[in-house]
Amino acid sequence: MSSLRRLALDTAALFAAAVLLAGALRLANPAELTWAGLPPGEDEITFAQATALAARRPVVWVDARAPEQFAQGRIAGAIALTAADWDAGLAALLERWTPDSVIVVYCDSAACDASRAIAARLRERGGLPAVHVLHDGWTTVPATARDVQPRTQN
Amino acid sequence: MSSPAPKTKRARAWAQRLGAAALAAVLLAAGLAKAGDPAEFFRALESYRLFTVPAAVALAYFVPALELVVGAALLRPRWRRAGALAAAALLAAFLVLLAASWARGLDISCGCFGGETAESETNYPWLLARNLGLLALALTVLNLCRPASAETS
Repeated sequence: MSSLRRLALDTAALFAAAVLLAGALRLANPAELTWAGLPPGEDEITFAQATALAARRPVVWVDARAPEQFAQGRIAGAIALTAADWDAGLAALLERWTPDSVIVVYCDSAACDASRAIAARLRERGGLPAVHVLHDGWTTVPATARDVQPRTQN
Repeated sequence: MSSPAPKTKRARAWAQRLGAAALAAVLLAAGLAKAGDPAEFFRALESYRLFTVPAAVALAYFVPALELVVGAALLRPRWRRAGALAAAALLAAFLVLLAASWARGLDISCGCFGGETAESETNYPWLLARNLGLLALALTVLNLCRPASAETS
């Protein structure tokens, strides 16, 4: 057998072994992660759930992403609130908030922790009830709900 | 005085073993970290905004499995050459993924060693330099494993 052919077969064997091991890892994992992804956490809400909720209560969207991302596009009507600009963002949020409001904080994706941090801060330091995190973030927002036109913030 | 050829052969053999051991250590550590928390690695994969959910779920299990298999292969002379080639392919894929994310302006969670989260701006130069270094190591080990220089341990 030529050495290159042996190398190719050996490498293929390693990939095949990895597929088998991946299957074993999947079986060993108690299936928090399924083919549909991760379920929403305790304080998380999906976009569909938030939309349904908006029919009954005012929903205030809070965008925890970087200012450049907010400028490029956001959920229509969202307020920018980041740790770096906390005071101004919180003031803007409180102008819109009413006691029966539900606040939904989002950032870029499932891997982004900024939305969780902002939500925790709103609950603990702001004393605001009914604060949720958008499950899987901006990536789940349909195009029809996005406001991608540049808007000057006041 | 001994001839250069046997000394060179011994030096290459040691370099091969040490290089393979270092690469194996990194891959095994990375694979164990990811295998221990597939949900966290899945979240990292989602931050690349490149994969469908089922694809990200499959990769969340396959990538750590491949790192573990390749890491173990690097430690065995019989499988070292294939392990080095697979490691180089894996690291090249990571490099392309990182470069593409940087070009797209994404703030990602690398997920390279399990639960790294994107709490601050992604340090792309560091991530790319690290992966490039590991790729160079993998290619060096691959080169040292060529049949003319391969030795049984």
